Amino acid sequence: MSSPPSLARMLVPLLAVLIGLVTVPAAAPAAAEPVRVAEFLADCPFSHRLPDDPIIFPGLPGASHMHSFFGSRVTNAHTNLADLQNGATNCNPAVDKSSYWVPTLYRDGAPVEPAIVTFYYLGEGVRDDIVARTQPLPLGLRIVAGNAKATGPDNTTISRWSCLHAGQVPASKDFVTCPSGTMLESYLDFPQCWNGRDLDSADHKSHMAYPVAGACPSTHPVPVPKLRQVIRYPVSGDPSHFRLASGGGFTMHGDFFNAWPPAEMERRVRDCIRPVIKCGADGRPS
Amino acid sequence: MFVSGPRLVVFVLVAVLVSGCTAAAPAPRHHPAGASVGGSFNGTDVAWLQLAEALHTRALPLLELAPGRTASRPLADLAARIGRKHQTGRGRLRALLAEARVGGENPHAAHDMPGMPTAADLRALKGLRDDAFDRRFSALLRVYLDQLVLVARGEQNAGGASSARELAAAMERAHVAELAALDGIGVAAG
Repeated sequence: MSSPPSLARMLVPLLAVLIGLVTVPAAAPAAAEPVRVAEFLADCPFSHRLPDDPIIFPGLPGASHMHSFFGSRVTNAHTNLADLQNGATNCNPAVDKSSYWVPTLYRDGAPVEPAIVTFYYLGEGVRDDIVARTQPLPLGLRIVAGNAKATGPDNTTISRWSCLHAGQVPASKDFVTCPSGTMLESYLDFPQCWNGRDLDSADHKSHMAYPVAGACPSTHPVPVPKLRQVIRYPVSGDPSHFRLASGGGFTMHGDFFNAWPPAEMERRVRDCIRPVIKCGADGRPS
Repeated sequence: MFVSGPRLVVFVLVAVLVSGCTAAAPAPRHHPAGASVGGSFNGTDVAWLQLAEALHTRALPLLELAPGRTASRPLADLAARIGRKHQTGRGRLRALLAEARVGGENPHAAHDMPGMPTAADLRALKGLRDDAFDRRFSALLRVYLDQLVLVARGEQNAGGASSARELAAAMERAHVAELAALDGIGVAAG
């Protein structure tokens, strides 16, 4: 699978260049140097659909708008960490027992589930020296990214809509019109600065923060991998046929409940993120 | 690998930078945490109190539409009775939220959640009269009361604070009775 585009990747980090200079033989032409990417990933297809949300409405089945769940096969309103750790998953790698969910997409009132769902864990969006001291995402961490309650696209909209295999369609904060034969895709970056203390918070957001000027703020000093959710839906054409269970395209949001085994998460952070190496689902250089 | 003079310097510089920064990284503290709330209230209690309060708030404009539009005196009376009881119920929910030390704006009040009449529902309903109004109004009211019953049962099963669970039980009984009264009025589904 191709990697997602990113601004950071276009601005090749100074540190990566410096490391590249010493790891590539002196005789190699500069043009042959690969672009360095700090990345590992999990491919977790659609699992099931429920009007449940164990982060926002724990213990209250049916309280939520409809969600499409990826990864863990067991997630419902009552799910806790042990349930995820003991339950089945459809992720590649199968060691990722995490649960991921988004509001269900509807076309003309009928649910549409994605054809391709990839969760990238990235070392970007902060300075290179901060990438080099990235910490593992803590076991049991819960994060909600995006704004389910947005009433329109605005400066706070983090999610983006675009088209797979139709790069000429500019990314947008709301649904886009994808040419026939392409797929509607959604990108969402999760906050990557942790307060170092809480696995959740009352608003399910304030224990995490986005970086400011390439660094984690002092209130959230711990850099963790940036989770980038990339979802491809097998639909195209007029967006007036589409809605999310939470509302318009700008209400796209993602929930993440981390159940990676700590040793697996730590190995990937050590071998892929900190040294800026592109790894596959197995957490080895790809 | 052959490393020339300047590149060796770079290598050492990078190694020092990386190792220096790694050593300076704060160690994450893996405290078990979650939403910090007061007393014996757990996450389910807070979620239910907020959601039920938001549902009540969003239903009041629906209930206020009945007088003058419905053709059914019993339906108008039921809407008025539910409206009064919901004002009281909302107060009890808010009191428990205060007890749980949950302040600020209700995160669900401005968001269309299952069971809530939407702004479009209310606009459409305002233009209806008599039987057409009664059918649509009854359908929205039924969906709303069904959702209140559903989440009140969830709270009784998974809630932590006895005060919240008892309120959920009382509300479930009241909403079941309201649904029975609605069925008794016998407006055809619409």
